[in-house]
Amino acid sequence: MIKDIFSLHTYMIINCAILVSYVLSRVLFTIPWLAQHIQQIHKLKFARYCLLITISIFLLMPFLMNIKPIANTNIEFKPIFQHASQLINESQKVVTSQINVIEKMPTSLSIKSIITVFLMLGFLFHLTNYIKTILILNRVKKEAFRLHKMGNTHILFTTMYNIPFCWSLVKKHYIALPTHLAEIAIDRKLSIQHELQHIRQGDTNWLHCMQILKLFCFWNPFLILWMSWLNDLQEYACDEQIVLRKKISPSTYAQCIVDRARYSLNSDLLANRVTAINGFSKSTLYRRVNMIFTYKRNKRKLALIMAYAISVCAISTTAVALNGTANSSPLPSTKISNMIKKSDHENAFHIKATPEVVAEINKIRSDDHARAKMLSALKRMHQYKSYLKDEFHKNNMPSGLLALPLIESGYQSLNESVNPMRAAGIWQIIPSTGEKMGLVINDTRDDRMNMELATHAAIKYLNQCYDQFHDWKLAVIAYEIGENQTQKLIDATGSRDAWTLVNAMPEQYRNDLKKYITMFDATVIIINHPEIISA
Amino acid sequence: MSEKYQLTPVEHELMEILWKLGQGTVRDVIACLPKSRDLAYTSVSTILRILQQKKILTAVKAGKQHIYKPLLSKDKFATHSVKTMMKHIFSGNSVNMVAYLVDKNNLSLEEINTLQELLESKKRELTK
Repeated sequence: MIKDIFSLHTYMIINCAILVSYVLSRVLFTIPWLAQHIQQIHKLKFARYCLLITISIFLLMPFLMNIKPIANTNIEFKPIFQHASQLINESQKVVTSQINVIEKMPTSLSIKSIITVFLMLGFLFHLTNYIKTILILNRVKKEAFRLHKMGNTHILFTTMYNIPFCWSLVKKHYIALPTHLAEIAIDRKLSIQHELQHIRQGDTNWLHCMQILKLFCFWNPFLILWMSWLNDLQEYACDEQIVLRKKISPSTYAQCIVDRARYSLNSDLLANRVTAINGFSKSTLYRRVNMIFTYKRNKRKLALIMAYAISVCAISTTAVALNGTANSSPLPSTKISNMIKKSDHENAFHIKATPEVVAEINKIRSDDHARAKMLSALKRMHQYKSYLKDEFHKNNMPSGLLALPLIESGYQSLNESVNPMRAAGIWQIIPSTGEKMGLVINDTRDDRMNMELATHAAIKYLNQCYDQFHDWKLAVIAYEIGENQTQKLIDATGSRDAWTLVNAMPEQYRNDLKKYITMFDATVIIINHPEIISA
Repeated sequence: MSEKYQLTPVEHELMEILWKLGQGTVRDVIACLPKSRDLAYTSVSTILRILQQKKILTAVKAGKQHIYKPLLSKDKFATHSVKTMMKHIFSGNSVNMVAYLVDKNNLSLEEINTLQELLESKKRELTK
């Protein structure tokens, strides 16, 4: 679980969430009706909510989807998911092929280590900047003259900067005013009100959060856009709250902002990019001053509710689209071959990434219903896994045989009435074989429904088949079609290759056996690599 | 002399009043400001409190008010200011500074005589 959370996948999801939340919230506010009827303070809260909720939903969606997989394949949103996943898969394919090309280039550094080094360097650079900023703020605090203390908020006068600013550190808030403001009573009062409003809105704490996010996602241009937009929204919200208190005329307040901006021109504050300081840019200043005269107390809540509702729907849909279709990208046969090579279990069954097996795996990955069925069968298998593995081990049998009950019954103890051949139990043993293996099967008792007795019988039968054919794959085929039929096929073809035997089967049974072997091979691979269907 | 003895124009303006008064409350300082100078009570109070933290003033509580008294004398401040100017503009060279003042200011004959007398008396002190 912890490995799942702290993975590259999570990192990419967070970056993706930053992108999606930014685009969504900006697009929502381009709708004139919403933009006009929502106050700046609510816009700010909405933007923050969008960022937080998108990251949370994107991170939680894979777990939510696992809890309740989508069983209904005919859901209306499916075309949207497919479309979205197609777009993502196409770009993913391009990136994968590009990475493959780069990885094959003769170089001592792999692309993975280059990316790791780049991320580490960026992290260290931004961490140094962050610490430097904190140290600068501490110096400002140390060298400043203290004027007032209001609860946890300290008001200071500094000679270091020409612009009022505020910051928070461990539950303490500081407002620093330039000393020249000491003689301008009205500007001093407004500046303190403005900075107090920033603290009240939680802007200073949010800046810390954004800076920490920046340490990890510094390369993401959408994070920079987020930070700049949030900064603007914070200023607009502050201005709006002060103007709406109606204790000061908008023109006096606008004049104060312009005067502070004029002073800040001589300051090196912006070049230093000091955290928690709300600087001025020319276009923001122009917009702020213009907007000061337009703020109105707006009590229409419908627009706000609409914005929240739309965003919840859009974010959830995107998260489901990204997650729900993550498995639909087809796995190439080379990747499956590599998986087989890495695993020892498959050698006993001569498993190869044949087109049939690859197609079967990809079908399970892309079909929500088949995937859900396989996932629940795997879940049931976990109840029996340790017991069956022990039994296989005791009898020198390959653990890949775990796939057999999975394809026979999906690890469900099925009653014989379900099967036309009257097969029953998790091993789907037919009455004649069961009786031969010593099971009691009559109207009052059916040992096939007893997991332990049925397992012993199946193991006994499989071992008999193995003793006859000296091959586990042929034993599996014999389990399905009977040892006599298997022997006949071997005699007729002179081959011991499973696929050759399949082709020699009478036409009416050929497809069934072909499907059986394909399912068995695919299931052995999935049991050993469950991530290919659950990731 | 440390950096903290540097005063902003408005701080200097208020210090001049306190040097003249010897000591005073915020209201006393405001009363001495020219009528054209629009400086609010809170502004004067803030500036005096900054000066107090700079250790240029000391404050004694008297009822609801504070009485501010200069810790830094005008003479000490003048010495500090001239030394700072000499250091920054004339590379610490006093001859260059005097030469500049004599050269750039249109001195009257009387003023030149006064300066000469001052220099002569200094000269006599050194040769004793």
